[in-house]
Amino acid sequence: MADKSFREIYDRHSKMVYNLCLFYLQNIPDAEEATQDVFMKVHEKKESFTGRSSLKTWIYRITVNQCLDMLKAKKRKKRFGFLVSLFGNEDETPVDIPDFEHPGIKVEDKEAVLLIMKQLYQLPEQQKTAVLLRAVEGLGQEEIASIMHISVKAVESLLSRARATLKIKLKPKE
Amino acid sequence: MNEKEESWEILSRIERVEAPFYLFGKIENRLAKTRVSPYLALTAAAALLLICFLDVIAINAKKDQKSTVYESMRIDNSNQLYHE
Repeated sequence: MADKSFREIYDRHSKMVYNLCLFYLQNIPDAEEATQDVFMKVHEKKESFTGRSSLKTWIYRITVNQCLDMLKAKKRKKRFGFLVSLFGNEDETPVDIPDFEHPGIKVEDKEAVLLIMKQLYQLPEQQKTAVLLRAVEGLGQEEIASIMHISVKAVESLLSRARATLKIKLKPKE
Repeated sequence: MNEKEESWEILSRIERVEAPFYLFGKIENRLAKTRVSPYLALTAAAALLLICFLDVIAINAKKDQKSTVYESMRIDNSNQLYHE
């Protein structure tokens, strides 16, 4: 049995972890697996958590890393993936996006959300992470900087680059 | 708020869902598999001690046997010398 403190951590953060995983991985089975992996890591490392950042920030960081690892593993599994990884930058590799499966999407928003998620998915990992933490989780730039281990200026730059790309991509064609 | 920020806005309107209820059970199962039972650990430690103990006894027995053989050889040699 897991101890009481771990249960409390799970109860307080599972919703946040699961939803962030859903946004990253875009399907329910992968999000469930990633959520399990995140809490396994939290359990493993909770003794070594020094409290330099808040527990929430620490769990966010583990979640982001776990999701990125899973996305990388998926990319690698893709057919001819090894050729792409030999000759190109992994961040630039376009990924096929499955239908975004999120139980919380309203029917009337589905089309617009799918369009944005498709474009978001094409962004480099760091930009994608910054946008997801900002737009989906509603975090401030300082908190995003702390989670991503970068400066606030760097977060600003990532967000503005992502904005510029999305603006071009989402521009209605005339 | 400008135009580009509005395109993200829609993501924040998506309702957050609870993690499935069975997820914690799955995590507990995985944790149980990684944990070594204290009984198993004790049994393994006891077995290791027993093996070491038996090893020491065997080495001592061999030493005793060797020294007895040398002893008898020494006596034999001395006898031989004496006779010579």
